Amino acid sequence: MYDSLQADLRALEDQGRRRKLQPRAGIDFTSNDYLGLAESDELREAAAEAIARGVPVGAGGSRLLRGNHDEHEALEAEAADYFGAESALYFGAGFTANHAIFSTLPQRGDLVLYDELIHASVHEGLRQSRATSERVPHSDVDAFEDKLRQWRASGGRGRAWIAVESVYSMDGDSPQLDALYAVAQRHDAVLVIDEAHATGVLGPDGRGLAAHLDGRPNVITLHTCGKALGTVGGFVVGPKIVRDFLVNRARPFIFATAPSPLIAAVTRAALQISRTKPQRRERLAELVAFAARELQRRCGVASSGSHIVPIIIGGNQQAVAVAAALQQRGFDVRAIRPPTVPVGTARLRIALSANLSEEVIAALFDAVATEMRIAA
Amino acid sequence: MSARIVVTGTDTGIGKTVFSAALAGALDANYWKPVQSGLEEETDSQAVQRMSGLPADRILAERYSLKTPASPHLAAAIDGVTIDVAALDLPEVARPLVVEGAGGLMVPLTREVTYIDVFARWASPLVLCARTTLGTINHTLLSIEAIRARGIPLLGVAFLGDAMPDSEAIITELGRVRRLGRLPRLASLDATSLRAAFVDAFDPQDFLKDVP
Repeated sequence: MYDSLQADLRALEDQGRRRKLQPRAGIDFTSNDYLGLAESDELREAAAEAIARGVPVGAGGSRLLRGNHDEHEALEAEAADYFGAESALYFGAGFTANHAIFSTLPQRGDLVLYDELIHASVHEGLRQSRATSERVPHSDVDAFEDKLRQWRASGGRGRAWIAVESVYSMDGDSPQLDALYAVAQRHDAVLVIDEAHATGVLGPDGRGLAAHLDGRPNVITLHTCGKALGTVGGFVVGPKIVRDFLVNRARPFIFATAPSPLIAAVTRAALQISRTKPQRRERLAELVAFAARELQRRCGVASSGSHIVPIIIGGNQQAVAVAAALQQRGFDVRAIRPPTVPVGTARLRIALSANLSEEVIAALFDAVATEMRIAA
Repeated sequence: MSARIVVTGTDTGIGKTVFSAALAGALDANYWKPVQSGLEEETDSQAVQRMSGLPADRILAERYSLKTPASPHLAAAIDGVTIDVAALDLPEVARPLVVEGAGGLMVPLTREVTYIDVFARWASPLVLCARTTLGTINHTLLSIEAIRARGIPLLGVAFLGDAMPDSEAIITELGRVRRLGRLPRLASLDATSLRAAFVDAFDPQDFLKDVP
């Protein structure tokens, strides 16, 4: 019955790429729970409080068919206010939100230029888009502009869209957002910035690295709730017309059951914490600075400077071996291999969280230094 | 190597530090003030950290922190130190680096050497900050001549203050210099407002390109 699927899995196995779900174990250097909110008392209490005031667990239908709840509307109004834009639309997952943006907004005749390290959700959206799309070398602002010029010169008449992330998930680096905005301005393009890994962590009051650009007519940002905010879901933040259009045209919005109103209520609390309580964010910033120093000192490796710290190992086997050895020692660190990252750059991806301590980070880097020597 | 940009001005107190903070923020850069004179009030490094929104570790330590708010040569003499100009090298950093001088180009660091001599040795591109109020045409053109006379690459002029289209135009024409933009007077100097204003006024790429 499933012969071809079996063969495909075997092929993955042979390439050392077959994935398996594993139980949680070890000290967390892997999750995106950057502020440690996911398991926090604050969010537990917010959930209990929401249940007590009668917020339902399930929405019962899509947003357009009675699934629309006051909690969704309130969450979206508060998110728009927090991030500083006209409107926000809440989706059940960040992936779905990104998928909706790129499958729905760019139209036939438009051009979407995306950074080569852009998230898979953008690719999935673009597969269903009528617009043409083209990849651009990582964070190369001039290349974005050159491609826009070429497209116009060769008769491109539609709207141009630029898709970037404010912090790239596997490298922890950031593009020159203001320079990209200037390019967008010059070419009348829309700049779509995925803030998934910056929301709640970076920028003024945790509003992301593009906080100063939010609210401009040609800027759309994507903020996730499943990472630093500790819940699940994602916001498309931008002009009201974008929200209206998505509500009318985005199939992932129209045909999906609305996100849980209970989770929407808890996410409201998470936004409130992000907005008014900088302590976790400040603690994480201290640990990021500490980790950058110690990574250099103990492993001779330069840090990305953000809370996502890749340690490039190179070969797939070595990366897997080092990660396995670290897991044995009680550190939950994963190896990231091609095709997720370019060939020859298999790496450890260290995600820092406000829940960690200096001692644990130092111990991890000592272990990394040892295991890298053994694997080399 | 990442871009290293030296910010100087036609005069003291014209908003050079505000501009440096905006530029460093927009380029996600490191910031370095080699010589700080005056420690009683907020230092330029502290002001840049506050206004740029950059993390504290992007602000490199000053090479000389002098107590007296005076010309560095005098402030150093009062503190009993001599600024070792030969050792005033640009730090090596992985990101773009925004370096802020003091006052104007010919501010003395010792009794022999002024800032412009150090800029000439660094040979990194300069941004000349100029106000838009009365007297700026003369100050700015004189500064441009001094920069050109020493063969220092000049990225252009960044104007600070209310729009004065004719002054800005005559400076760029007579000075044969690029107008990088104009940062208006801002009601609030928080990081978000400053970055938003910078984005409206300048293209960050202009600061990362080679001088034509």
